[in-house]
Amino acid sequence: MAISRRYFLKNSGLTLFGAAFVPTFLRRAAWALDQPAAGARKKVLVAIFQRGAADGLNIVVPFGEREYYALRPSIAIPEPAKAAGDSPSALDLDGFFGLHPSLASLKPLFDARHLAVVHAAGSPDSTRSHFDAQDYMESATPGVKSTPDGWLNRFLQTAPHTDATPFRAVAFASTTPCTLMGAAPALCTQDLGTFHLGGKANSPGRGVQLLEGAFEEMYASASDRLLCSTAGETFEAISTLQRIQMDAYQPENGAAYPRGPLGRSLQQVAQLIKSDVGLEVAFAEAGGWDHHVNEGGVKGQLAGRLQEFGDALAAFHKDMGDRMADVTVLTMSEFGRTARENGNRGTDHGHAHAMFVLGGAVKGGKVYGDWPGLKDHQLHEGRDLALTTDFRDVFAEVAMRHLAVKDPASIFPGYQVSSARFRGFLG
Amino acid sequence: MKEDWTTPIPANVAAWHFLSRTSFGPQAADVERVRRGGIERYLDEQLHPEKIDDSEVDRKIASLPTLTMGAAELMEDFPPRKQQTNPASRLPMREGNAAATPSEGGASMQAESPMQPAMEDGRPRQIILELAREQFWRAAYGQRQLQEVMVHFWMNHFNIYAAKGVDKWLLTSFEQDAIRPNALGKFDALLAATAQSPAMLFYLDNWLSVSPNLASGGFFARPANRPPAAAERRGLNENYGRELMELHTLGVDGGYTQHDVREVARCFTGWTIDRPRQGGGFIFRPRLHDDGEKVVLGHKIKAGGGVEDGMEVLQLLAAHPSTAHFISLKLCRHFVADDPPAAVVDRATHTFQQTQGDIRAVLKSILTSREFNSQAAFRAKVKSPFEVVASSLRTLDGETDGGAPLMMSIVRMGQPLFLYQAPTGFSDRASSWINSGTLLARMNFALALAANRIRGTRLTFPGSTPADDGQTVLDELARRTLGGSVSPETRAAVLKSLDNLKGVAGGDLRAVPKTTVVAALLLGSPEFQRR
Repeated sequence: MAISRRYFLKNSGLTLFGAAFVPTFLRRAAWALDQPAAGARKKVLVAIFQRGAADGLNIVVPFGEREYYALRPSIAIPEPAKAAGDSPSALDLDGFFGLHPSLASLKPLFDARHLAVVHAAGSPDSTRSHFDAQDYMESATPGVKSTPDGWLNRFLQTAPHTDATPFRAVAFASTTPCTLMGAAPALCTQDLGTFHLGGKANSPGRGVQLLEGAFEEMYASASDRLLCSTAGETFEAISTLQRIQMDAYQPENGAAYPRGPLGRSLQQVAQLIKSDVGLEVAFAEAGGWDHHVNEGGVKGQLAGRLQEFGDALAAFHKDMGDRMADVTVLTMSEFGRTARENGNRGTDHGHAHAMFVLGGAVKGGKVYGDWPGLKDHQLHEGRDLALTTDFRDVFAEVAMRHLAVKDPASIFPGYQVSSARFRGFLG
Repeated sequence: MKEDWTTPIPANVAAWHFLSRTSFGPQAADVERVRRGGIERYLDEQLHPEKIDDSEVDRKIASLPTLTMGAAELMEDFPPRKQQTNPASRLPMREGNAAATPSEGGASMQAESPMQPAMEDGRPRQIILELAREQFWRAAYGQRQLQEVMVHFWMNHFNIYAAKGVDKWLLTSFEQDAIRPNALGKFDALLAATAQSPAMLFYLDNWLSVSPNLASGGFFARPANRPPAAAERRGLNENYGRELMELHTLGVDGGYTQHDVREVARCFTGWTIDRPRQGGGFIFRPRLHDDGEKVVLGHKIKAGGGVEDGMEVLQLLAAHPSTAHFISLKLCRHFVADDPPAAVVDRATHTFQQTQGDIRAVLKSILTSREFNSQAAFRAKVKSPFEVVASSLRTLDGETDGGAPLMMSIVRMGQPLFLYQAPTGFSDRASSWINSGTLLARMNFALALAANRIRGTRLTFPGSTPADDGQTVLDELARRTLGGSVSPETRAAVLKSLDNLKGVAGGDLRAVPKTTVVAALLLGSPEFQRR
């Protein structure tokens, strides 16, 4: 690892780039050479994006509201069973809201006050385009398409760490999500287990090492800025991953991650955190929520997605054990779905939805937010769950109270952050 | 550094530059033809693919059975795996809820492991793999290169997610019947072909969209003792109306409102699929159509228009100035630079309007522009993963069956072909292709291809003899892969590693020819990632 950093410094040199352009990784590397490895425990945020507009009303079910059942004759989740052995139904949280029964693995976390819900949260912009709404949420600038970077990238920019590693921000995705786009570097991969050059993970042959050296050399000195700085991140990450042996990981405390990308991503997040390689922001995706047709109720498509979703979160929590004290997991989706089911036993693009917050410092066991109601006149544009919490207030609460951001102004441009609007799930 | 859009590109690389954009990789013979005959002559040939003999690759493709089968035949011969019990099966067949099985609907639509569960199940996967093989072959060996470049451009512009429901049986026809014949034609014809394609009708849910008045009675009121049919409960679906304007024509800032989305959706009610479970084609069902008056973008569409409502909307959108600009901008982004200068976009937009959306004319205006031929445009574009693969095969004489391992390569580099879920298609920008993971995948592809370790694919370019010195090998391969334009740094790194190799005693590379090492390093070099 040190070799690769020194290599860059010696052969490309800071001067080669001139004063105008010094890639972040080089600045960082220059500093890191004389520093011990980043070993101190850091606060970590794990952001999970449910792409496709998740149906908050069937995920955290307002069973106490009669309108809910009137609006969803074929897909509603029945109110909590009176006796054990009854058919599956909502899992009572507080006498009004209940979890979808496929989220049973999250129920103990709620009961133990590690898990909180913010309901009727989302974007004040009323676009029903997935793409716009995802961009708005990831940039945290609803209604502004020209924002060039994502809110988590701006967080990284506002709190620069001179000892940051390539693992400070990691996105588990095929392409860098908008949330992490911007000036601060972020590592993006679908699976860290395959992050190496050549076929073998931990024992690259001499030949591969040689070629790796050649690639490092030509990229380090390339005038192509994008490729040069990205390659710097790549090679440094390869060295670290070799050291911590990604593929030898055993989850602790009997945690069993579900198969599928979200489980794999969260397991690797857990490993990175425990390896103390400097992770501060992790981003994972869980897709497949766009159920216009045959969404299902207690069983069906949504139930299937929720099973994996809940099990992955619960396994992560279990695996992390005490280290959960430093971690907050935050889930989000671009918008919710129509309060009424449509003619295809599905739901269409809606407005507000429900967010989960999980972590050691979370004041869980509570559904936060004001409930707007589901009567006709209470619905947004007569069709969707209305919004009572701006998602930026949720993000900002996490940024300030978990990530210790002092001045959030630059993270949320054009928005007056006020702790008076925080829901208080973090204190 | 300020970009210089006025200084012309040096003459010795001009032909290479031109071919790197209008084909999937410049080959020596084409470079020579362009040098001798000039860019315009070559371009005119390429703009009329019907006059170019492409029988060799056509013969190859004729060996792929699914490419000659219609959707109905495909569904019969490549049935889905036995379906689980699901609510969809209870819905009446004639309403065609073919999509709504658990294995095909939304639940499995998330982008997962490379080929995704939805595509791993059952034989339909073969259809998509054969479509990919056709595209690899046409890109690598076809003579109609510009047409093929445009097929990829439009397939991405009118993106369809193959794993959604019946779309895996419909995508072949979409490519062959809607996109390819119109790729260099008139934009309005292309737009209409996509609008009436079962693949698009299904992907953006228009086949389900029915008049919101259907359930409310009136002339078609059902007897009170009969439950409402599925179509009556369905209502209006706005998906196609929205994406048609946002992504296919006007662009998101093209000047439409949510009200327009709804009105457009009303115009397209009744545009559906005839027997979707059996691979039927487009059909207009008057009973499902909202026949009232509509106003789209301030333009009145008279009541009682029937199927003509949709056609009128398509004409209106195709002729709209926002469409001319949006399509021209996307073309310039593809052919010139991620952020093309306004002048070339404006000229292309003007041409689009003057010629009523003649794609040939717009392309010509872009490809013969000063900006396209400027210093700033040289290697301004990062290749897509498909382009990386195709240009490797073209420049180093690759032989490929175009099979699953090659498909996996581009998936790892961040381009799951036919499996981009959102209707936006892949972003055509460097920053979305390049991140630490995909850049690593590009280098790994280079190593694997050069070492002939990708099953079904091998490079056959002339090898070297041990007598050839590194310099000679490097010069020859740099000429093939990079048009000879290679940076001193890359040269130095290649020569140095050849030197170091000599010192590897008994190592895993001792017996590897110089050409393999040099090819691997050049294919993985920063220069090769761009076109």
